[in-house]
Formats: sequence, C-alpha cells, structure tokens
Amino acid sequence: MTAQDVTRHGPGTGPEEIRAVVLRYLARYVDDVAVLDRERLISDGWLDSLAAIGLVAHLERSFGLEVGDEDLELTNFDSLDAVTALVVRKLAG
Amino acid sequence: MSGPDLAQARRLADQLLQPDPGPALGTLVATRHGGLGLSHALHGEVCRLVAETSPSRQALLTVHAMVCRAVGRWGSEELRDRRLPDLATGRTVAAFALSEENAGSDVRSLAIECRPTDDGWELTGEKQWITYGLEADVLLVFAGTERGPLAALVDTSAPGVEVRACPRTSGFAEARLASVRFDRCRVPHDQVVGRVGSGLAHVAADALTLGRLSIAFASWGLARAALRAATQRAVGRHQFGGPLHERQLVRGLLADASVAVDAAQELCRRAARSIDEAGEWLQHDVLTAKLAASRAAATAAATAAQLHGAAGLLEGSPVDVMVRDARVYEVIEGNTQLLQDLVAGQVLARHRSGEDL
Repeated sequence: MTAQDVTRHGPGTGPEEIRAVVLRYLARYVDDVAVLDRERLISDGWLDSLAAIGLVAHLERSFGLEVGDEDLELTNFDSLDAVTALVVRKLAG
Repeated sequence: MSGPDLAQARRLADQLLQPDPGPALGTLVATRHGGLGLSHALHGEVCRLVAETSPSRQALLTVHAMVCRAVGRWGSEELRDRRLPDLATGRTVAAFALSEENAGSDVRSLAIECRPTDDGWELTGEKQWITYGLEADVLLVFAGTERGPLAALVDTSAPGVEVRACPRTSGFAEARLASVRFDRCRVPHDQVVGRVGSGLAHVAADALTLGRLSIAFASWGLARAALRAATQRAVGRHQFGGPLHERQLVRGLLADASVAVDAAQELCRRAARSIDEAGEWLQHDVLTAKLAASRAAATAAATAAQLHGAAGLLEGSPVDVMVRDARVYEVIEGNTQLLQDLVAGQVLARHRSGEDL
C-alpha cells in the first residue's frame, strides 16, 4: 500500500472498494483466495493473532480510522463480509 | 540517532541500572499519563544500553514496558487513568504472566482455570518463568475462558496469589524469575485489559511485538559488549610470541562477530522506525530484527568466551554470563525456530501481496 493508496480510501469509500482492500490484505495469508469467501477466518485458524493485529493496523492505515477495543469482537473479524461491514460502519459513524 | 537523544538514552539506562529505576521505567507511556512518551527508536536504545551492562536488569524494562503497552493500548480509559500514572513512574512494577508448565510458544494451550463470577473472574492455577515476578506489584495474566482469551491485571498482594522464586536458571540468573500460584483469586471486571472473547488474542500478540523489539535491542547490546570483550582479549592475550589478534583464525572470529553486530544494529533500528511510522511490514521487520540480533548475541558471546580459553569456562566469569544470557535471547519472546517460522510467513505474505522483496 502506497501513500497514494491511503489517500484514495477514506470516508465516502464504497463497500466494493472496501471489500477489495480487505481481500488484498487477507490474500497475503492464503494460497487460494477462494477460502476467504467461505471459511471462518479466525475460528478456523486461517489468520493467526499476528495476522489479525496486522489486519487491524492495516484497516487503520488504509481508511484513516481507529479500531477500538469495543470493535474487537470475533464476529467483526471472522469473515471477509464481517470485516467489510465493520469498516463501512466505522466510516459512516 | 542524534547526540542529544543518545545522551538521554544513556541517562535513562544509568537510572535503570540503579536499585530503584523510578520514572525511567515509563519509556513508552504517554506523557498525559505521566510517562516519558519516547519513540520506539529511543526506547530501543535504552534497552540496548542497559543490556550492554546487564541483560538480567534489562529484562525488567522489557516486561514492564509490555504491560504498560497492553494497558495503554487496550485498557479502558478508567483503567488507564487508574493504573498508568503509577506504572509510568515505577511506583508500581509490572510483570508479564503468560507461560505455564505446558504452554510456552503455543499460547492457545493455556490451562489456568478462569471461571466467571458475578463481578468478574476467578483464577486458579499456576504461571511460570515470570521475569521480575519476584519484584512485581502487579501481573498481566493471560488465561483462556469459555468466551475466549482474557488478559487482566492481578495485584501480587491480592488474596489467593502466591509468588515463589523459580529454580535458578543458567541465563537471566538475576532476572528475579518467579512462579505464581493462583488459588480462587478474584479478578474484578475493571481489572480486565481488552475485550474478553474477541478470539483475536490481540493483547498478547501486540505486547509480544513490543517484547520482541525490546529483546532485539537488548540482544544487540549484549552482542556489542561481547565483541568488545573478545577484542580486548585478542589484543591483551599473548600466545606463541604475539597477541591473539595476529592469528588469522582469531581474526575470522572477530570479523564474523563484528558483521553480526553491525547487522543487528541496522535491523533493530529499522524495526523501531517501522513501529514508529506504523509501517505496513512492521511485523516482518520486528521478527527479523529479533531473530538476527539474538543470533548475533550468541555468535559474539561464543567468540568472546572462546578467545578467553579456560578463563571463559569459569562459572560466573563475565564472558560465561554472556554466553548464558545470549541463550536466553534465543528462547524468550518467541524462540529461534518459532521466529523462523513467523519470518517465513511474512516472506510468503509479501510475495503474495505482489510486493517486491
């Protein structure tokens, strides 16, 4: 992610674009991106704790938002759709 | 690192080597909570400088900073306001209670029992290898619950907490290692750090990142001290009618140790910058620094001991202590083989991301 990328995302970014950013990050940790659509990311062990806190940092950097402790529910991070929805909510809120 | 920054790091390192380090323990705590609010780069230099003299003592700064980090980043505002000012000024000394008899690198296998109560949790079980546990006023304890991982502050003075000295270890012999037994110890909700049951184990993972950075710098410090001892010996010791340094094989040992020390320096400083700038690949940088610097410490300490010959075998001699402490750095905050595994994971992640290594 370059500095230009960071400034591209932010308030007003659409769900499709958010989903693409999240997918690009998660794709770093699997050989087959298809699993990201169907598997539970944390419950099923696709993301270890380092990758998970890396994801939190990546969301903060990419979208200029702050992920607080209250956001760190398993249900917010266990699927691609859930992470996308969390970012959509944070950007809207 | 600028001159004034290094001078500040030296002053703080000197304070940390005193019996009562006081506010020097608050390196990374935000100034609004009474801490020094230093960058990770400067915190690292302090770690390095303390470890050049005493790796055992440096361990206090590592564990205290990890607990401060966990509270500062994931604690509620109320918890931060209540605990950080005393942690920042060293009035409260903190230690990190993660390891158990059957749970080291695999923290998902934590066995300590943690039951919900009306007003919080109740702990029963034992934690081991707690660095500075014998001095600590408060412990950051990790446990598994039916809702997922839990991290909580437990005061060592609380009912149901028994602190005992660990058997003396060969390295970190002065690091005040303790075992702690919890017997139906009550932990109120307001002592919990971070969300229970997120399943992310984020409090531990995040604190360990800082721990790895601190250990990396400490390893570099030990490696520097060992290279210095090796060089002094090569100059001062005469055999076969001349100083050791005139012998080619000795020069090979010195050269390899020196290259390892210099590499550790650059990797440590890069990792600290990466955290300070919230770099995209900070985990990769921190893991790499810890792996390389702990190996540099082992290389340089072995060289120093080898050049001291029989004198280096003397139990408790300075170079003997260096060898023993360097072994600790290849074990704690992720052992060498675990770190290799994690670094390889980062290499693959970078490859998949399309970023050129």
